[in-house]
Parts: sequence; C-alpha cells; structure tokens
Amino acid sequence: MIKKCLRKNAHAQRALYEKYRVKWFMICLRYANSKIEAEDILQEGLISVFTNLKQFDSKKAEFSAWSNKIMVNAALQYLRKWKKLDFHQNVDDYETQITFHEDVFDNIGAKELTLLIQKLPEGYRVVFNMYVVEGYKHKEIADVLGISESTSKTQLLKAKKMLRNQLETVLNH
Amino acid sequence: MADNLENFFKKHLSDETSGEDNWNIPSDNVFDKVLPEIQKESGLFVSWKNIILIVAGLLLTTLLIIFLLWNRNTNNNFASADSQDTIQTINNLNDQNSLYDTNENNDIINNETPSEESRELSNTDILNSEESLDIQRVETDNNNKVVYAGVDPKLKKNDNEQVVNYYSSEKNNLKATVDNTKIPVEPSTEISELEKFGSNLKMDILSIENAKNISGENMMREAPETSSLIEEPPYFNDKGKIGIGAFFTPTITSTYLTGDMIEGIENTSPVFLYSSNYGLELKYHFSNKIALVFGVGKSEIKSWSRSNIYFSYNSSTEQEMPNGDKSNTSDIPMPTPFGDVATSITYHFPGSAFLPDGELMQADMETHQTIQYLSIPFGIEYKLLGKSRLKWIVEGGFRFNKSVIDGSEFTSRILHEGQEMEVVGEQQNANPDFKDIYFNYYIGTGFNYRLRKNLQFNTSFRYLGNIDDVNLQNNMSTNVHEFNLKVGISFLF
Repeated sequence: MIKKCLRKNAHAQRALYEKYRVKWFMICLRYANSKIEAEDILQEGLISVFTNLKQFDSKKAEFSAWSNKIMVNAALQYLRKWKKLDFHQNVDDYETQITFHEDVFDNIGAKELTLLIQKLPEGYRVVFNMYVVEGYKHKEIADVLGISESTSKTQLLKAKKMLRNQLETVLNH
Repeated sequence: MADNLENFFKKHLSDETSGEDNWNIPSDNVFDKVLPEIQKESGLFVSWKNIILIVAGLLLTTLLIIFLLWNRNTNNNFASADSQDTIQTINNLNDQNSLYDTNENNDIINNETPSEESRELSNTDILNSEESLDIQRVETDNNNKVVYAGVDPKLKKNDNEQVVNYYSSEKNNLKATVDNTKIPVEPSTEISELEKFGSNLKMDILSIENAKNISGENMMREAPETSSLIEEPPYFNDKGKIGIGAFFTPTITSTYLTGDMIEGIENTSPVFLYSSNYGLELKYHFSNKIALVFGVGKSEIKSWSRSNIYFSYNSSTEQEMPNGDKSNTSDIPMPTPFGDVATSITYHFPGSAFLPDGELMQADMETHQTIQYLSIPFGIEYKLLGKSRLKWIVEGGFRFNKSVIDGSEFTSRILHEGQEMEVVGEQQNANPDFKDIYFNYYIGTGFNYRLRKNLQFNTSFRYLGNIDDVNLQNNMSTNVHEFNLKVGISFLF
C-alpha cells in the first residue's frame, strides 16, 4: 500500500488514511483544544506523512510509530505557528508525584480524558502529551521544544495537578 | 517513574473506540482537502520523469551551447571574406619574397575579379604593400561563396619535394592542401575552375584535418604540416533529398489519471507502462540542415484495471447439476477506465446454499486492456553539428493520435457474503467501445549516421506530452507523457 502511495495512487492514499485516521486524529485532538483545530492539524500532518513517505524505512520503524511522530511534529508546528506556547518554571511549588484512586474513574473513557487534556493550557498540554502519551523523556522534550528539562518537568507536574483537579470536579458533578 | 495518573491516561487514551458520536473520527472532507496537495509531485522527489527531463534538458542545453559556439567560430572564420564582395589580399607573411623567387609557377593563385574597382584594390594591395606579394587570395564567386586558393609558404614543398598548393571553398565545403598536379593553379585561374578542381578532388586529395579552421588571415600561418595529412571525411549534402524510412521506438508511457474513478473500479495500471511504437517516416530536406518530417506510426499499450462491483442474483437462470451443486450464469457489466465490458460469468456453488432472487452478489474482476494508438507525426529535424557521417540533430513537432481500446482479457471472482464461488466460465460479450483523438507534441535530440551514401541510421531520445487531455471517460481524463528512444533507418534519394 505504501508503495502505491509513493506512486501517488489516490486509492491507496485514501486506504492508508482510512486505516490510520482514528489513531492520527486522536493525537491531533490531544494537542488541539477543539475538533476544528484538530482537523487543521490533521490536514497538516497528512500532507507531511504523504510527502515524506519516501523517507519511511520499514526496517527502522513501524509505520504506525513513524506516522504518529509526524503527527506530533505537525501538532507542535501548528501550535508554534498559531499559539503562544507559555511555559512556567517553578518546579519547587509542586509535588513530584500525584496519586489518586483509579476505580473512581471507571466511567471515564478516552473521549472524556481527551476533553480534559484539551482544557489544559498549551504548554501543559504539549508536555503532558509528549511525556505521558508519546513516551518522550524530559531531555527529548526539552530539545524539541527549546526549553530546559526543569521547565518540562514543571509543565508536566502542573498539567497533572490541573488534570487531577479537573477530574475531581467532573466526579463531584 | 510513572504514577498511576500517568498510567491511567496512557491506558485509556489508547482506546480507539469511536462511540456513537464519532468523536475521534475526522470530518469526511478532511482527506478530500488534502488529496490535491499530496497528489502533487514533491519538489525534492526525483522521479524517473524528472531525471529524464533533467537529462534531456541538460543535453539540449549543451548541444545548443556547442552549436552556438561552433556557429560563432565559423562566422569568424569567414568574417573577413564576407566583408568584401570582391578581391581581398590576405597575405603575406615572412618569407614571401623567397617564396616568390623559388616557386614562381605555383605560388600564385588567382584570377578574375567581379569588378574593376575590386581589381584595383587587389592590384593596389599587391603592388603597394611590401607584405602583400599576393601569393594567396580570398575571393567570392558570383554566389558569394568563398574560395581560397594559394600556396602555403611554409609548406611550399612537402616531403616528396612536391610543390604544395592549398584549396578551400565554402561552396564545396572543402579545405585541403594539394600538390600542384591536382590543382594547377595559375594567376589566371578562374573561380569556376577552382571550384571545378575542388569538386574533382574528392577523396584523392591530400587533405588536412584542421585546415578547415584556418581563417583567411591566418591561413598561411596556421597551415598544418603535410606530414600530418589525413583523409577528409566525406561530405553529404542532403538538400532537396527525400528520405523514406522505418522506425521503431521503445516507449515508456506515464499516465496520470485525473478526475474521479468510475464507480466500481478499485485500481488501475501503474503509472509507467511500456509500449513500442513503429511506423514509416517520410523526410523532405529543405536544406542540408532542415528536414520536414511526416509519417505514420502505431503503438500499443497494455493496461489493466481491477473492479469490485455488486449485482443482483437472478434465480430464474439457476440450474441444478447432476452432482447436486447449483450453477448460474450472470451477466455482469465490468467497469474499466475505458467503459463497461459486458461479461457473462458462470459459477457453481453448493446445492445446500439458497440464494433468493435479488440477493446481493459481489464480483471481483480484473481486466487487461490493449490500447492502440495510431499516430501521425509532423515535425522538423534540424542538424546541429557535423558535416560528415555523424550528425547531431534536434527535432520537434506535433503528433495526431487516434486511440482504440480493446478490453480483450479478463479474470473474475464471484463472492457471496465473502464466500468465493467456483468460476467455471468467463465470456466477454462486448468490448468497451472507445475511441479518442488527441494531439501531442514531441521534442528530442539524437544522431544521424550515414551508413552509405543514400542510407542513414537515425536515433533520437524524445519526450512527448499531450496537448489536450485524453478523455478516457466522462469523468476522468489522462495526462499522457511518453519518453522514447527512436531508432530508425532511412533511404535518401
């Protein structure tokens, strides 16, 4: 299918899109703060995926992982272009670990969690997504975003604290 | 270390269930908006097409530069001669006095002048200039063709102690040194006689390879050594000739479909297809450099398409077989990019299966099409370089094409609810009736090689692009680009 996509076969391109669209769109949704914004990111990401497809080497990575990374990069580019990423640096004010009882969230699914993430400020959201969901290290996040490692840690903790508060708010209602 | 909130998010966010609200499914038009963008050729992507175009462009540019330089050089060579209509004394150099003394019989050329004024000029030059003892002259005949004739002062005698004259004529395109027995040049020799001598010299003269580059003024200084004499290649002038020949062109055709695929078609041929083109060609040589090209050619492209369509089961044609199985034949219109092919497919299925009338059936079909093109080229061939057997040429022109499609072969699979049935008979009831007319243009460069006096081998690398779209069906058209290597042979008479 990828070979056909490289030959600009529109049917193969559509088939590839159909196969991965949910996965890709969920990435976009997590970095955006609305569905419309996520679709804009998805469009940018799709262009990147298909135009860079010739660089994909199946021996080095799974297509899914490779394309997810492109989607994340597309999201970051979008946010840099259209949003002002605001990072705060006071790591000392926050706890290093946040715990809660998982069973109280049994009724919360991916949709609800995505909506919670979307409500985070851009800086928190980006670091939280990169660290927790995509599995980047703080050093890598710092390099990609051009911030210090401590800033990355701060953003993550703030994001987690905010998410915890939001979850509690949701549950109280 | 990941805490349980992180694990919680990680675990739940990987759930791709959409639910009824399709919250994680993008709008339908997202991909449609992106499709035109991703269909574009990437600027950095070096495709075969781009490589071929780049190479062809570089080759053409190189040939053009060489041609321009060569042309300028030629003009310079004849500049002094062109600037005067009649006689011009062009020499002499160092040791002309001694030359004159020792070689009285042979070292003067010359002849009649077109006008008295010219004669006076000549005489003045000869008489008044110490450097102009006039052992050599440049003249033009009535057709403004330059003729040189004279004696090489350095090479007055060759190794065999023969006196050496030289002869040069643009008209005959011949420059050579000759011994004076071949051109008995005397002061009274007329231009017409010089031309005649030149014409009769042909291959048996003592010719000098680089004598052709000697300008009038420098001819004496730069006359080459007789010891390096080599045979001048033959010169062929094709002006007024008609060439008839045959050609064969292996062709790579790229087809880019634009528009919506006809309903039911899942896929079609890859972008690049091989075809061969052959035909007859007629050339009329307006001049030695330019020829008008006309001809007729035929090419054939093998294409294929795969379709997946649904049809209704017709129980009235169902038959029970002796072994208990059932058989049916369905008429299925198979879509191809060139129109529907009417087919009849016979298939068997177990007798225990019950297929009600109107049951939805699926046909997975693949057809191979043969597309035949009849083309009539009309173009110009121009010789860039070369005067002997090998010539570099550029060519360009237009081609009228008529294409005819024949969906001659196909295979099919019949499925019901995903279960494949045994296909036992496939019959094509009618080919898609498709004909189209379109124009394309071609440009190319290559070589002509003269095998014999009237026999020429031609080869040319060419690009062809369609001027108007090839309309394969109402909602889809094809951009056809071709790259081919034309190989041909022609007889000139």
